[in-house]
Amino acid sequence: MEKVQDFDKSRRLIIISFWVVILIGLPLWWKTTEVYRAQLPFTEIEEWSKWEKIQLCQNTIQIIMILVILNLLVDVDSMRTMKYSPMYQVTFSLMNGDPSTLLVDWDIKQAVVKYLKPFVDKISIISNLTVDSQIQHYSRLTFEPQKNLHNDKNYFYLTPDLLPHFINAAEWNLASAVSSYPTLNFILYAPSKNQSPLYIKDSKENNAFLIPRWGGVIINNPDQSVGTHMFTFDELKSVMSIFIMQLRGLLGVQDVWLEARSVLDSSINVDFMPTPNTAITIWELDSLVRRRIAENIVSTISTLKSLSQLVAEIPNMVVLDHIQTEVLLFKIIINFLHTGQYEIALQHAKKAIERAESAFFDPTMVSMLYFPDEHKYAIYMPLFVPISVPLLMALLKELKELKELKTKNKKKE
Amino acid sequence: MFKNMRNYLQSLFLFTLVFLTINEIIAESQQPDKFKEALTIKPLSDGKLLTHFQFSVKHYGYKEGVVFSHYNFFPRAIGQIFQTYNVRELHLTFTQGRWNYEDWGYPFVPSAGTGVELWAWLWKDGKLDENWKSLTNALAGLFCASLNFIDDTITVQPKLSFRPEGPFNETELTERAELRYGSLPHENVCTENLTPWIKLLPCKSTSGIASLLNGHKLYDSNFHSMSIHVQPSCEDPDCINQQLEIIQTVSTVIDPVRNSGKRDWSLNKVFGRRLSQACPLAEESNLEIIIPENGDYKIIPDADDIIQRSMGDTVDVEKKIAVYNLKKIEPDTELSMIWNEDQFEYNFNPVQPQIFAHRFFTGYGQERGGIKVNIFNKSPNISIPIIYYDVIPWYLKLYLHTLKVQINGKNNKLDADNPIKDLYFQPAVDRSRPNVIEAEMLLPPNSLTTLSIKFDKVFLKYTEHPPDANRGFDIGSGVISTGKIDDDFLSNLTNMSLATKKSLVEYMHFSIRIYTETLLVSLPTPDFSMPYNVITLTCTVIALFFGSMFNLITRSFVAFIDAGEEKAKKKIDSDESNVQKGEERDFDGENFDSDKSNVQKEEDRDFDREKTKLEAEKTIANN
Repeated sequence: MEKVQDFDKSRRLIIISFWVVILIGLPLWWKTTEVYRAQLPFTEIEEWSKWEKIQLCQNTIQIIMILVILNLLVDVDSMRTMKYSPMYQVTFSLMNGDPSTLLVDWDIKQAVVKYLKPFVDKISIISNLTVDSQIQHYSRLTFEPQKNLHNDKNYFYLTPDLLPHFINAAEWNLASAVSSYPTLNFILYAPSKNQSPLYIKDSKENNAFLIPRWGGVIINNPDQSVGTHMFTFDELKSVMSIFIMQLRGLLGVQDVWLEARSVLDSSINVDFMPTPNTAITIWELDSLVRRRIAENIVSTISTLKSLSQLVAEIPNMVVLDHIQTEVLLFKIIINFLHTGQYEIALQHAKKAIERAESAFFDPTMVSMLYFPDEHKYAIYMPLFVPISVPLLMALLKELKELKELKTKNKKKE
Repeated sequence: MFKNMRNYLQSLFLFTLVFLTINEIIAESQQPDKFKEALTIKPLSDGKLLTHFQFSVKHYGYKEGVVFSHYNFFPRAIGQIFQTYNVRELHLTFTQGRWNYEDWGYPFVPSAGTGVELWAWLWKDGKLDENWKSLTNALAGLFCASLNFIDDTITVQPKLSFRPEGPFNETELTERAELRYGSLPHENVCTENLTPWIKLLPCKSTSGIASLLNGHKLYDSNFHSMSIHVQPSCEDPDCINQQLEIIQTVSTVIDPVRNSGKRDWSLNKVFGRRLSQACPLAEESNLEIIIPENGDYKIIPDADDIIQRSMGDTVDVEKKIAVYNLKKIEPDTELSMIWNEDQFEYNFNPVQPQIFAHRFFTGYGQERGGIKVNIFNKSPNISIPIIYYDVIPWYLKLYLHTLKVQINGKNNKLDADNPIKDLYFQPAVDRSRPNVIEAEMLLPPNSLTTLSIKFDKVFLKYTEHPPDANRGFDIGSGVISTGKIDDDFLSNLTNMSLATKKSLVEYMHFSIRIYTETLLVSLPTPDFSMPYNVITLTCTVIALFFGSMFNLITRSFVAFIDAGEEKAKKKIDSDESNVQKGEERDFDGENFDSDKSNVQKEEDRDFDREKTKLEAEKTIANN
């Protein structure tokens, strides 16, 4: 009997030692096979996303922020305005429907320098605009405009429901080959002879329309009889003024003139001071700066929140060190905003959103595609399952025996 | 009289002043872009037909460093790429098929290496390597080709070959710009690459000769090559006003004999389309047919003009060309050439070009091999200088000490007769840069020069093999650069032998390039199912081993005793006592018999006991 008892003890020792090794090895293996994840300040990001915590000296910005967050600023203006970017590419394209009947050219270089440059300079504190131009020939429409007769002359017209299909993005070379910044396209369209003259139905004076968050189009019907048409500097004045108006709308410049007039009491005498000829007034620029600061802060914080959610949800994703530095820099930038100076605030807000976006859209932020879970199961299972089955059975048997022994002892007592 | 003279001089002075300022103003004001297009058709000596489309746009008023951003005929996509990445000159070629130099002579555009070839001169601005990388990526996006695979392991800086094709000043060039070359021999070319290429043209594919570019016919040819060249150019010899020129070309070689047995061709048969109208934006739009020297043929309709022009071979020969002005042609005209013969007879003695080459592998097995290049100089009495350039990827380790030169089969020692005048060799660094050989050679007249070098094959890592691992890896073409043999060149050659060692490159303009074949090498390929085999085998072995070991150390084998055995034990004891008792009494036959039967029964019982014991052990073990 003693021999049996000794044997029982040694067997128990053997089984327990196997299980001890497994219990020590498991956390070690887990630690050594996890992906590299730099630490992100999750708690701070959580705090920021509770908006009240951000104390800004300027109440106007705070009010705008709250309005943006609560989506109260969703109106025609915000649907038209481009998403903020520190740089935009502005492209002017002269589209010629049929060069075999009409050759066109334009003096765009002078027009840009004279009419557009002041505006570009003024707005450069918010975003930089790069301007270029091109002439595209054989630019056909994807559909046939409708024909009508008026005073014995045929004319063609586009109804408003056809306007969204006007842009033939496949054939017209509108994309930029190098720029990754958003592009604003402005098109001056000269229709071909068999679609000329072309009008937009019910458009009062200008033959132009704006495409929200994309750009603008003007349809110009030059004299087809001559065979060539040169858009001179003077002709381009009216064209450029429409384009600049569309550009203002796309960049988010709001018309303060009209709003101010409607709010003020009619008994108050208002004198409007003349502004320099830059297509944007100081007041408009100021309000745009505040709006952009508020929007930037809100989007930065929401991007960071999404980033932290993404990192938390996908455990199998590598988070490199530079992501961590981007997020930490934002902390510094937020501190700067407390000073309350607009220009510096705007610059910092610009930097903040750039960094947050670059961290979020970093190419390394994808879950590791080549280590799917199925592969891990396939590799570990053939080894560990046949080993674990006898161990488990032995352990269970030991526990059962222990229980029986206990009950036996109890009975004896 | 003196006063008159003074007045006259004053007015003359004023007049010249005004004249000069007006000139300057005119020079400053932008001359508009010029667009020229031409289609050249050349019947080749072996019955095939070479068609060459060339479109060129010249942009005036181009100044280095001054960004121009208002585009007309010059494509905006190329202009943006060119200026953003500070490129001085750019050449990109997509080729499929092999140019047969012996039968067809030299192509109109020098680049004829299979696959994609990209080389560019970039200005040194501190981030030249970044610019090169971004350039390859931007072009990959624009042309839907995987040019982004041109990375450090493929990029090379040639020292002697690929001089700029526009005008340049040698010293200024070496100080301010660097050359980068990359080629992907395995790249396929298809309509996906042709469509964005056509979109760069001013008239696109709607009018002009570009309307003849039909993907179905173009990619059904023996050889086709599509290229884009952007380079500065000068119209005056002093090069005061530079222009930026973009030249787009498509060359194809088609075989009309394949379909009909005769050499006759027409535009509709060759391209599947008809010419509609000339491009209204083109300054010149011509169709040229290079008239074959001998043969009985007829071209319908008659040419507008017949001119003579030199063709750019090594030998300066002028050929007669029939020119049709497409601006004046009637739309939908059919152009055709008809030969007066029943069936085409192959010419077994074609006029061979002066220089051509073939390259091939030598050796066998998966460990090592060799590369051999045969370069032919068919000129009867002129020694022609060439530059041989070859890029071998890093997974073939070349051994420079095995480089051998043979002329007409005889080995060459390193003496004055050695054809290699200058040699640049860049050894490969694994996974980092390829091998480069650049040799400046002087080929003796009427000779066959053979270069050979041996290499070892590298055993690649498991993940470096492509998905189709057993196909092998492509080695790009070797390039032989040579120039036009004319009086200028011959005098330069004599000067060179007299002068101290100066590079040929400074004397000659190497405008002709000859490409060898691409090669396919198979590297030792592992068995890709081995990881699975290893996992299953080792896991099975370890599981069995562990299972048996664990059982042996934790199982105990115990004797199993039941009620039947107990009785049997007692019975045996009683029998023994009986036997003793029997011995004390007198021996009785009955007792003996009963004892015997008792013994038998005992044996049976023993056997039963053993049996039950074994069974008991079995049941315990199974539990």
